[in-house]
Amino acid sequence: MIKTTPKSHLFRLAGVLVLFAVAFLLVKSWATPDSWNFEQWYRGDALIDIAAQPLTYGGNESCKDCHQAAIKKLRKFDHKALSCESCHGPVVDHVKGQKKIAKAIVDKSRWQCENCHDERINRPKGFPQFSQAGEIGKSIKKHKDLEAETPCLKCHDAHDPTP
Amino acid sequence: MNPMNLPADSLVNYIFPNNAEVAWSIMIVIYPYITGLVAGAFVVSSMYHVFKVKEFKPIANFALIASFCFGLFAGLPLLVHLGQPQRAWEIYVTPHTTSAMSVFGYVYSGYLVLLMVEIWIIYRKYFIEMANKTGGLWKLVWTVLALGVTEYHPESEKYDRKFASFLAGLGIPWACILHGYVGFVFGSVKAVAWWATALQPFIFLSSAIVSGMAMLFLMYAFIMWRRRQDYDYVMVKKYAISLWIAFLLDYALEVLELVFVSYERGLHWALIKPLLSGPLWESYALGQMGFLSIAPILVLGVVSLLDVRGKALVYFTSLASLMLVLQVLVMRFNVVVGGQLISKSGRGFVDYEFEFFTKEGVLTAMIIFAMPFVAYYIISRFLPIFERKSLQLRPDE
Repeated sequence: MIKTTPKSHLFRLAGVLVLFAVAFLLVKSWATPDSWNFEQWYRGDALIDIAAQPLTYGGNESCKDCHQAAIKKLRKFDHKALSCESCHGPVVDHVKGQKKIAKAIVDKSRWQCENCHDERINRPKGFPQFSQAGEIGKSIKKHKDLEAETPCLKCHDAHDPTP
Repeated sequence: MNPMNLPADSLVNYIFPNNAEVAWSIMIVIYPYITGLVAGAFVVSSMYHVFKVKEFKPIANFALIASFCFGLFAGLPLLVHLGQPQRAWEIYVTPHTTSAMSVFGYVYSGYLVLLMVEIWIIYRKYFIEMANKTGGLWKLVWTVLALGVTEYHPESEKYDRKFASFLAGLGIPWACILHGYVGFVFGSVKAVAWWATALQPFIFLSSAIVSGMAMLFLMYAFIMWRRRQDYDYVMVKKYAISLWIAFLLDYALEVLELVFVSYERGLHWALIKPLLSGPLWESYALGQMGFLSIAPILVLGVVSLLDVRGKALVYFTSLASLMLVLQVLVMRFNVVVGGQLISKSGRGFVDYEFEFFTKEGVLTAMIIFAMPFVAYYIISRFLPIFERKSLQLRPDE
């Protein structure tokens, strides 16, 4: 048996702590990504990885080559800044390469409108808002007779929602 | 491409910003609460180990173990809150001073290590005793815990005592940083009017000490009652006075914060006044600042200043402790959830609804909150936390 002194346990404790600290530092350096940018504080390869991800949504820029006329018309309407793909589905389901592979969908469901138009405290007062608790028409009187499920698109045009 | 440089008629993909939900749930309420209990309980243990308040000797080890038990689970609510908890450890891998949260990882883990080492040094003698008394697998466990040193040198007691005092001394600023830091995380969020005050770290710290002390007392009263052991009335009296002073300080800071925002009459007050007199009227004005503060101040005041002794002393202090434990819990709720009720648009308040069975619901919070007590129970099966003999230290004896 190894002979111990009154300070042995303290040395051993120090040894254990140093061991843990070294192990931690080793794991840390192993786990730090190789491309870690210590100046800007991000993983350099993240940009390459993100760029390499398959495209799903192309943004409105991806629509304008084929749908110039529609987009030009749309610019006059209140909904000019909205994303086409919100209601028409991602561009990848519609176009592959430069070719149309399927018809773009037209999502007429009510929640699409409610994303922006249900009543929220953080929305400007003048912005048309409709509360969800079945009180349609709280903001605009003529909606009073409508039922909670009535699709907005029954009367409104999604591109030009002007009443 | 910088979107600001786009020509005016460019196509953007606009969607209206929503802030319909209170994103930081009840998990973020119990996270600072449990962290506070860690810091508070540790302070009690340091009163004996550092400041040599001899009345607190019987509960010094108990406070330390309780602090450790709370510490084990302080980070759990955060993990439950995260959508990708397996990535949480990345804050250790790439910490940065611009992220208060990443610094917390180190402060918190370092503190747990400190607690473990302090418990180890205090219980080392017991580990050795057990390693020499037991056989088989248990002997191995106790020997490993004693780091293979199974002989207790009488001279090492001096070193151990000094080392324990040093750790306890180091632990005080560390506990303050740990919890003051939690206040810093909230206080530095300038977007939330109800959080953004430089007083926040001090308020969090002082309320942490109060909640830790109060929780510890409830545990003490319960354990002594279960063990049919006599209460140490001298300690209880001193404890009640300390708790009273700690809470007076804490309450003063909380009032000060309110008075500051109110007196400045700035933009913040325009948002905070309707918050406090509206959605938070019951939990803040009536609960936190009203009944749950004034009642314990009065009860502890009576206990501290008048000659209350015997069982009445324990009953009154327990009652006040219970109210203080609730006061701090309600305070954490009012800060975390209350602050988020103010719409980011500044136009009014969003709603908050309690959820019970959801991932971050009240049930999960209750389970997490029960865990430190279970851990304490398990540890108490293996370590002698209180002295075995009955403590007969009545003031009138």
